[in-house]
Amino acid sequence: MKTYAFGRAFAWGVTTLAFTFAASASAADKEPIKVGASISLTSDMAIAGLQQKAGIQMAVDQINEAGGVPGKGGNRPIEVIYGDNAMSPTTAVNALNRILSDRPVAVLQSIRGTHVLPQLPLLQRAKVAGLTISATKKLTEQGNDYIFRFYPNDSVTKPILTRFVVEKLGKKKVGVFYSAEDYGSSGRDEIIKTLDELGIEPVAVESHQPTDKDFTAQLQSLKSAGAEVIFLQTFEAPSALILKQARQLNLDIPFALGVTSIGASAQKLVEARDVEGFYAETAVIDPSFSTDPKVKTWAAEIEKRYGIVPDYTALIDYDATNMLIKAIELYGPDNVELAKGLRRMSYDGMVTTYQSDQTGNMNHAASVIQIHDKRHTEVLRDSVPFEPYAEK
Amino acid sequence: MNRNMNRALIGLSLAVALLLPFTLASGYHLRLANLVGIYLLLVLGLNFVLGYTGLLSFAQVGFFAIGAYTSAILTTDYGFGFWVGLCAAAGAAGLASVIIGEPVLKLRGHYFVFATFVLGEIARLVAMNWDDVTHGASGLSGIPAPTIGGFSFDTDLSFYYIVLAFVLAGIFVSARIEKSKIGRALFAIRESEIAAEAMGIRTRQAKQLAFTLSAVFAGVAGALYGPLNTVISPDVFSFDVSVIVLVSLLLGGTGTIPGAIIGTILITLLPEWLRFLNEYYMMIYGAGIVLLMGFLPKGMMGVLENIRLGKAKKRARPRLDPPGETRRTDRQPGA
Amino acid sequence: MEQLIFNGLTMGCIYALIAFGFILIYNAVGAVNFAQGDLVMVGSYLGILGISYWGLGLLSTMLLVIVGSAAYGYVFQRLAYYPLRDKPTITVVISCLGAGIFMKNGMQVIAGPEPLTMRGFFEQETIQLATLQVPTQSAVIIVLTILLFAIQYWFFFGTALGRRLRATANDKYAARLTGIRVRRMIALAFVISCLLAGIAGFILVPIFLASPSMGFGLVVKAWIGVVIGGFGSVPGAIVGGLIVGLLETFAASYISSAYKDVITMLVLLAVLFLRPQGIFSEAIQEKV
Repeated sequence: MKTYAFGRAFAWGVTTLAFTFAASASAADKEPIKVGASISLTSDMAIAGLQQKAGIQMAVDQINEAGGVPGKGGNRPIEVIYGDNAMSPTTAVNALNRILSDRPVAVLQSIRGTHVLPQLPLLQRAKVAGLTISATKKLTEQGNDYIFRFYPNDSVTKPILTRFVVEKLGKKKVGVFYSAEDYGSSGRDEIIKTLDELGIEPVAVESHQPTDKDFTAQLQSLKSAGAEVIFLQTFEAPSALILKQARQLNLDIPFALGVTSIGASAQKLVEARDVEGFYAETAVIDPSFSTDPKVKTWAAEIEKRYGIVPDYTALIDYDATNMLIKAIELYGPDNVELAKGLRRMSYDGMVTTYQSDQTGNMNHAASVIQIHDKRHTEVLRDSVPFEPYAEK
Repeated sequence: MNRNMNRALIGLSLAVALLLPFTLASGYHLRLANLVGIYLLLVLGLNFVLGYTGLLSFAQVGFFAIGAYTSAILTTDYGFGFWVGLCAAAGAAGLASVIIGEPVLKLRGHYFVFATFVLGEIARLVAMNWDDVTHGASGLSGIPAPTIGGFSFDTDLSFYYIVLAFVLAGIFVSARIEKSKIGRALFAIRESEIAAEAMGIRTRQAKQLAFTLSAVFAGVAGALYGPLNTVISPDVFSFDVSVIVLVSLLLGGTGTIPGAIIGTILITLLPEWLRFLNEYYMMIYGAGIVLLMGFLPKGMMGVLENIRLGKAKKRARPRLDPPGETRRTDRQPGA
Repeated sequence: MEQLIFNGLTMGCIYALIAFGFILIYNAVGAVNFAQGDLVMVGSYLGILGISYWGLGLLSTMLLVIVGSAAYGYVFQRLAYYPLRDKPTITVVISCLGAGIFMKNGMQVIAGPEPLTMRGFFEQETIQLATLQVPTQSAVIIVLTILLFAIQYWFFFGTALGRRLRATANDKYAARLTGIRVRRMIALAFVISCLLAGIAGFILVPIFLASPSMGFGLVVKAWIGVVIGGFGSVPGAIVGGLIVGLLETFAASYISSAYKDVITMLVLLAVLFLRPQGIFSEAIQEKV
């Protein structure tokens, strides 16, 4: 009798499981070319995810409206299969798995490194290219042939900013303030490495927990160490609070900001006087401040169609999607050929010319902008030398 | 149902479970099945503490993290094999439960709840900040799959059988405990700790055993989670995991093994069925928890029991109680 | 040094307010309210609604927050607690947890996941007091907290209604026997608790930013304060909250900013291991 309940329950459980899976059986073949998008559509991370979605969808809608992607069997439309990463890496991997079961030719991935990293082995196994806009360096250090990064990684952006601050602005006493997690630590590492190359050691290095709200202690530490400039590497919300508190404490030290501190949602949280005169690194100047008429038209179109004001993440994902579409046109919708093609080709996007280096980094340029009255002006655009992909 | 039918049923279920991977539509579903298995271990673990002993614990995620990190660190940074990592994971989690259990199990009711919650949070914070050991926010990657002989269980399909083996072991242990003297002691504590103590039950040791069992189950789950995901990082081990484990058990029916199984399957699969709800899903999830407590405190198994009791006369069976202390309304004589 | 004390006290006041509200519910119904932080969040959003969306003045918005939070508190207890009042308290704990999840995600649907802010209550951001740079918002928080606790004290000890509420918290059954309408008292406890949480939420938006998930971090700190101060004790909640605020600030400054939270948690563990009943002791161990 003791196994009675066990047996019953087990049968129950297994039947439920089997039924469920049977119910969600795979789809039949369709005519459109399927492209996956594994991004955060819900939860706190949806802020960036929805930007990504706008950029991706715009590129897809435009090509579909033009009749589809030219190819051997005629023009075929693109269909995006969205997966929601939400917050945790586990959900992200599940989302990708579900997308992969629909057999897409490639997958556009999240801006969050912690979502992309665990997805890499799946992409390698499925031989499907992943296109991400995350800056986390590790992503292209895994020996994976199927990762393509469209955002200039930290070893492009941070050195450009650091050199600007030290060489052009002449600041020698440098403080670094970073968020104690992946993004912040990665930034900190690159900044300190560049400083080292320039023969400088930071006078103070402070960190904070991602959920902190009070930064007085760290700010005062930086001040008493004599910092002439503070490199800030953290996310939107803490960044806004740090800048506000720095001003309230009359810190009088200029900040050199990471790109997360100047995005649209970050800007909403600060007042003009919090960021006046500060410099920041970014892959490209925010579309709202761009002087490029093409970008301005594009931004207006996005706002009209999707109701959001696009930032640089939308713009770069737009480029990435378009490069993918071009690759499909050139190399066909076979996922393996497509990945190989993406490694080899170069593409002129709105932001820059994308070309892969040996490990999948596509974007090698960055800008330094200055903030006046909450408006951004580009003061420097530079790129880092790289070795284009060569087949072994 | 008689014994033979019962045995046939178990045999059938086992067969279905063994053949399940081949009936599934895609690798995605197979991965979900593996995830269900791992979560089921967590839920079965919670069942010892909440289901049998009546103590609400949020520490599962903490032990899960300890297990996952212990085995991941040993296998990735130090090159030990999966099985060594697994034993270490179970051991570390168990040890933690003994050290922590000492002061924490003395605490009364809700104080205990809160203390276990804090433990989970501390585990996450340590994982996040102890860079040298846990690699901080980036976590560990490249966690290797188990191997037996020369064969590596590195596909979802092969891994499924490893998970299944542990799930079966977990169910077996739970069933044995449930029917044993120690199980009855735990039930007695759930009804009333003071009465149990008065009856001569060593409540301190019994509670510690339940707590340690839950920790060991969670530790094993952690060791299995690493190879499945190949990557672990602190943001995996948030309070949400403890909530999911709790809700799974509540939905299925606290204190019952079938309940644990059904609840875990439902909770893992519901987000899939209800995907069309998009951002409203989590709202419904929250509201669902409130409604569950109000209408179905005994979960799905309670619904089953009500149906059965409705059909047949009331007869003496082990009762399913809502989590926590029992409220006696009326009771049939003769247990 | 004084600057640190001041900053520590500011956050400490917020934690104390939340802790106090939390203890009110705990004393009234014996349940740990996991949704306390989300109640704070609702207050924050009510404040933003008033000031940023409806363009109301400060006082009108405060009124809005007070009335809104009180009403919300009533609804909260009616839906999450009342149906379960005769069931084991664990069900109430879980129900509140679910309600919190509902609130958090509901707000995300309504207002979006982006953090929101509002200007400080005063035009002038800081004033100079001796050597201190005092952010005016912090001053608001501290002054308001003192005021609120003074009002609480007067209410609980100086009015008949307050005495009845205390009686109910002490012993529900005895209270019922003396003719106190226990159901009403419990509802009142929830209303007051939510009210305090809401006000706390409103006044901290300028320094804290509001987002749907802000509740979690706050309530964890408040609970630590409750434990340190003595679980179930009212002065304990207040003192504990203040201690946590100060502890955080000093730990960040003198030890390490990265390990600030870990240190706070370790202090909590130390208290749990060495003196579990906290400062204002309250028997929390099984008397067996």
